[in-house]
Parts: sequence; structure tokens; C-alpha cells
Amino acid sequence: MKHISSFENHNESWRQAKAYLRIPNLIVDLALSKLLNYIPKLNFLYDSMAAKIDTGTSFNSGQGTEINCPIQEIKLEDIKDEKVRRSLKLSGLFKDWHIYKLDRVSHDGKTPIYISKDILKQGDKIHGERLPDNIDKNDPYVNGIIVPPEDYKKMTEFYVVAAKHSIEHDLMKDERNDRYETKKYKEYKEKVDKAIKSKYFMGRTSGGDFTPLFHNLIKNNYVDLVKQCLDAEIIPEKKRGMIVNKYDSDGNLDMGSYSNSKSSMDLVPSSIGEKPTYDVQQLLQKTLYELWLQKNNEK
Amino acid sequence: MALNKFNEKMSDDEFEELKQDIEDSLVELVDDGYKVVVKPSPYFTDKIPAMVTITIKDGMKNQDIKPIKEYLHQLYDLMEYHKYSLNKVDVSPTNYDTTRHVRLLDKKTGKVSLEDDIYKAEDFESVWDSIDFCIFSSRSEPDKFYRIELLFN
Repeated sequence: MKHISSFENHNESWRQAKAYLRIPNLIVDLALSKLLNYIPKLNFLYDSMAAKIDTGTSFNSGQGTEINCPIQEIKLEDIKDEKVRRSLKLSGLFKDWHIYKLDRVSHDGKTPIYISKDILKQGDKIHGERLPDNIDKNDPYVNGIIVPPEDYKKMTEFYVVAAKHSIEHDLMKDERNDRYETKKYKEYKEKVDKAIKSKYFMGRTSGGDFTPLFHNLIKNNYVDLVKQCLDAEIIPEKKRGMIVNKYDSDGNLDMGSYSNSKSSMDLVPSSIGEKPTYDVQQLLQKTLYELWLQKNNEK
Repeated sequence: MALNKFNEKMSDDEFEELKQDIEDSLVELVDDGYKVVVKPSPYFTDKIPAMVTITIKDGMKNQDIKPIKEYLHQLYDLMEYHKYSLNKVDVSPTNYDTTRHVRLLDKKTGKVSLEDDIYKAEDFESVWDSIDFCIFSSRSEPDKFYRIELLFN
């Protein structure tokens, strides 16, 4: 649990600062930004992105975008846009910010400037959010002076608030997934233990999950739990029913021709991540075949 | 137009003769109220000359398939005699359920093949086991069926 503890420390601090508690600060920030003409919410933007990375919340950019060109740390004074400079100063935590210039230009001929509280280098993966250009229809001013459209082109930089997606984040994600999987398995195990006592395996999994328990075990590839359920059902016809009967999305046994209803055999996924589902499929087929042999031998 | 066993176009007379033979072999089933339809294959390949469909009595849900086993065996032997082999079998366990392709059951492994290779069955017993297991694997009652369709080539 090497990485998860650091995640928890970071993450808990983020969670403790509940979003709604930040609202007053944000309102003040917004009001001041109008008065002092700076870009509001820079800290908030970085913090929320960092927290999303830490907590594994998905981004459109997936695992992050790799910095695939040389990158150079620059000083605040090197930033050409006065409003961005002012915003970084007034963000109050200027000492935390690192500013980087990338050795490339975008499709519109501008140089990306990354603003981050992380130390970045070439090859790092980042999630970023581009700051809006200072010139837009609603606010076509730079330093209080209206900028004519032809001067737009003179703006040679654009600014991205960037948060680093590190290898540790991936490890944290793996640990989090492991922890989640362990917890989920334990919950299912408890449900199976109860189901074995009641001999009812096709009941809804929970109040919020209408899928029959046995079907969820198959979907999750819990071959040992599937086997426990099958072994516990001693009435052959009921056991066969567990494998071949179809259930609709409300967890009701489908006696008709509702096309979306599924049987256990329909539900075996081809794989779950890298984990093959071969065993579950084999187990269901083998059980069905043994039941068939048993039926024919009894006659 | 279907092809005959010599891979030549089957004449209407040839087909009628084959149809008559098939119907004769299943006449007792018809007497028992089953509906037997023999027609040239409607499918993409005209190498399948005959499609035999046996449907249970009108108004009934499904019937025990065991009594028709011997008739299916007769049909299988008849077609073998005519040098045709079973190419495909479809079963509808009930009138409301999806038609299922019968796949060859390998009794050594207890698995059904993933392809439509019932034509590889070595004898009628293998075909019968495959049909029986196919019905058993459906959600309807074991041993019951509504319609069975056999294609020969």
C-alpha cells in the first residue's frame, strides 16, 4: 500500500475542502478578477485537475498527453501576456507555480506555455486546460485597450494550466482497483453465503441492482463463487434453470420472447481486462453436459 | 433449382420423386397430426436439394421429441440411401422461442462445436444426441419441441 497512502493523504485534504466551501472564495475571486482584470480560478483549476488525476476520475485525455518536445522552465517575466502574468501574481500562491515553454508551435502558430504546480520535463504525461485567449467577443481588450482583429495574430503564446499524470498515479489507480475488487468480491461472497442458505441464486442482487446474483457472478468472472452456487443447488432441473433460463433487465424470469433477456450462457464475457473468462464458460458447459447425461441415464 | 446427388440441376420430376420418398417415410407422423413440409431449399446454396420441416399439431405449445426419433432416423437413413447427407438442423423448442441451430455435440469433451458442422456427425445417434442436447440447453422444457427443420445435400 505504498502509493495508496500518499493518495489518501492528498485526496483526503482535497475532500475535506468540500467544493461548496470553496464557493465564497470563488465568488470573491471572480469579483476581484473583474475589478483587477485577471483570470480567476487558476488555483482552483489546477487543484481540481490534480484531484481528478489523484482520484482516477476520467479525463477526455485518458492517461494524459505526453510532452513530446523539449521543454524549458521560464520566469514569470518571460510571459508575454500581461493579464496572465498578473493572474499568476494575484493567484496568491505564485511561489507554487512553474512556468514552462514548449519548443514547438501549435497549428495556429502559437507557442504553448504550460503553467503548473508540478515539475515537468519532456516525456511526462499531463492533463491540461487551455486558458481562454484574452481577446474574445465579450472581452476584446488587452490592458484595457481594444485589440483589433489583425492584432490577434500577433499574440504568439497560449497558456495551459497543466497537472502531471505520473507513474505513481497509475500505481495508485492499480492499487485502488485492487482494493475495490477485493471489497466487491467480499460483498459478493457474503451474498453467495446467504444465497446458499436460502437456495435462491436467481434473486435480485440488491435493492439497486436487479440483475440476478448468479448472473452478476458470471459477469464478474467469479468462477469459484459460480461453482459454489452450482454445487449448492442439488435439484437438477433448478440447476439447469440457473444456466439456461433468461431474465430481463428487471431481473424477472422471461417466459416469453423478450429479445433483450439473457441467460447465464449469454452473459459470459469474452474477457474481463486481461483476465480470461474461459473457466466460467467451461464450468457452465460442463455442468450442463453433466445434467444432460444425468437426465439420459435416469431414463 | 436444386442440384441432384450428381451435382447436376435437379429436374422437377427428380425432386418430386425425392419428396414423395421423404413424405412416405414420414407418413405416420402426418397421421399422428404432425405437419411435414418437404420443399427445395430456399437458402443461398442450391446444393441443398431438400428441406424437411416437421411441426407439431396446430394449437399445441410443444411436444415430446422422443416419439419422432425413429422417424428422424428413418429419414436420415433414407437420405443416406439416396446419397444425400444431413447438412443443417434447426430446432424451435417452443413456438415463441428463438430457433436454435443444432451444433455437433462431442461426447468425449462434452462440448458443442462453435460452427454449423452437424454434417460431420458420423451416425444418426450423434445427430440425435446433438438435437437432444440443443433442446436441453434451451430454456424450454427438456425433450420438448415445436418445430424441427432438416436440410440435406
